[in-house]
Amino acid sequence: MLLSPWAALAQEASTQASTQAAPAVESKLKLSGYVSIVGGKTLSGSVDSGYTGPSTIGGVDCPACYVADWGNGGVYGSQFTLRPESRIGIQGKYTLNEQAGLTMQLVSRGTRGTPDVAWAFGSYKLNENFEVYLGRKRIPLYYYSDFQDIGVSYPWVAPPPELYGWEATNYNGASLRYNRSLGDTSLTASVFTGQEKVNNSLYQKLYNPVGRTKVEWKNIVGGDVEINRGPLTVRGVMMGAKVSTTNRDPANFVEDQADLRAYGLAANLDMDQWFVLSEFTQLSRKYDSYKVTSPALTVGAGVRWGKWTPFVNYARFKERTNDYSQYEPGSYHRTSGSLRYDLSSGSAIKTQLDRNVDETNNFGGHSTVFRISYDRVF
Amino acid sequence: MIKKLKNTLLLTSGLLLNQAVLAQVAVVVGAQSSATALSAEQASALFLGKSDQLPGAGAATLLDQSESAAVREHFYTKVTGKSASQVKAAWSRLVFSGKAALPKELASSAEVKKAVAANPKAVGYIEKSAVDSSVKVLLSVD
Repeated sequence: MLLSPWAALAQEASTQASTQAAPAVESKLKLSGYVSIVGGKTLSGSVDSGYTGPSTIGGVDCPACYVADWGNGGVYGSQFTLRPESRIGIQGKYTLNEQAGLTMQLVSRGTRGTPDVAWAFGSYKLNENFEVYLGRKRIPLYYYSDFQDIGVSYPWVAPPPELYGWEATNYNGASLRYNRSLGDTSLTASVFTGQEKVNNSLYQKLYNPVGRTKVEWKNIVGGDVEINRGPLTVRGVMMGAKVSTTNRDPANFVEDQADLRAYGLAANLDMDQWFVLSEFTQLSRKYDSYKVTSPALTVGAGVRWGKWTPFVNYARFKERTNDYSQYEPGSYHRTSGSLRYDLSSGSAIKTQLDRNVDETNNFGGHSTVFRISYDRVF
Repeated sequence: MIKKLKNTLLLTSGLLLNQAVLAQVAVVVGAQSSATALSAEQASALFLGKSDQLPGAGAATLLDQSESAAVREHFYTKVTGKSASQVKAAWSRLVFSGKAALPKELASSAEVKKAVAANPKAVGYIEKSAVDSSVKVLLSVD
C-alpha cells in the first residue's frame, strides 16, 4: 500500500529519463534522500537513594538507560545498539509547473517496523513571496523540526531531546509561507493549522508500556517568524492545540484532555568559524483540574577547524505543576561534547558523549552515553 | 618514467593555469536577461537558498557547477564564506522540508553559458575569463 505512490513516481522517473533526449525537457521528478546510522550505548548509570521511577524504560533496564528520541521511543542501554536513532529517508519532489509541486518523503526508522509517510504535500506559489502547502508536514515547533532527521545539517549526533520529541511530530493540514529578502536580511514567516492522530504513540509507550496509547492533537494552530541578518538568525514560534490521550488497558489506564500552548525562541550566531546555537521553548498543558508547564532550553557553541567541528552543549528540561497530588513532574539536564568530521560535502561522521542527570530522580536515573554516527544526504 | 613525468608536468601546468583562471569569478545571466546587478550578499542569499528572487527577473533558476570544479569551491568560499559542507547542510534543510530544490548542476562554464542564454531567469557563475558576449555579468568577485 505504502509503496504504490512510489511505484508511480519511479515509473514517472523512468518515463522522464527516456524522454530526456531533447535537452530542453527537464526531469520534473527529483529524488533525494538521507541516511543516518547511529550507534550507541550507556557507559554508566546510577540513581540517587529514594528513586521513584520505573526499572525499565522502552524495554531497557534502568539506570544505564537513556531516552535519546522521545518521539520515536529510541532508548539506549548498556548494550551497543543501532536501533534507537538510525533512519533512512527517501524524498520525491514532482514539479507540476513553475508554481505547483508535489513532495513526498518516506522514512524508515530502527524503532519502527514499517516506513512512515512523514511528508506528503502539495505546494503552490501564489506570487514571489507567498506559497501555500496542503497535506502532511512536520509541526514546525522548533528551529530544527523541519530537518531534525537530516544529520548532516547539525553538529550534534541528534538535536537536543530536552526540546525535540513529543507525541506528535507531523500533522495533516495547511500552511502559508511568506519569504522575503531585503539586502542582507531575509525573513520567513508562516502560519499553519491541522491535526494529528497517533494510534500507538511510541512516546507514550515510554510512560505507559502496556497496551496502546492513542494520542490526538486537534485544532493545531500556530505561526512562526524567522529573521536572518548576516551571522544572526532569530526565530520565534507560537502554537496551540487540543491534546487527548487514551489508553484503555487497566495496567496503565489513561484518559485525559488538555489545552496545549507552546512558545519558543531560537537564536543562532554563525561567525563562520565560531558558532552558537540556542533555543528556548515552553509548553504548557492545562487539564481539567491541574496544569503542567515545561520550560526547556539548549545552548551550545562550536568551532569549525577545516573538516573538524567540536561542539559543546548544555540542555535542560524542567516540569512544574500547580497540583503535585495529581502530577509528578520530571526534570533533567544534560551536558554533551560532540565531534564532527566532514567526510565529504554531503556526509559526516560524528561522535558524542552525554552526561544526563535525572534531577527529579524519577525517570531512568543519571547516565553517561557514548554515540557514534554516520550521516549522509544523497 | 617519461610518461609519468609528462603527466606530472601536465598536471602542474594545469594547476597553474587553474590558479590564473580562478583569480576571478563572475555571476552571470544571459545577455538578454532583465536581471540587474547583484551585491555579494544577494548572490550569497540566492545560492544558499535564502532567497529565490533574482532582482529584475523574478524567480531565479540557479545553475551550479559540478562538485569537483575548482570554480565552484572558489565561488562559494568567496561569495558565501561557507565550506562545501555548510552549503550542503543549508540546502539539505530546504530540500528535505520541501521548500526548495537543489540548484541544477552543469558540467562546465560553457554549459552554464548555454543555459543562461536559453533561460532569462537562469543565473550561474563562471570563470571571469570565460565571460563573452553571450552573458551579462551581475557580480564579479576576485
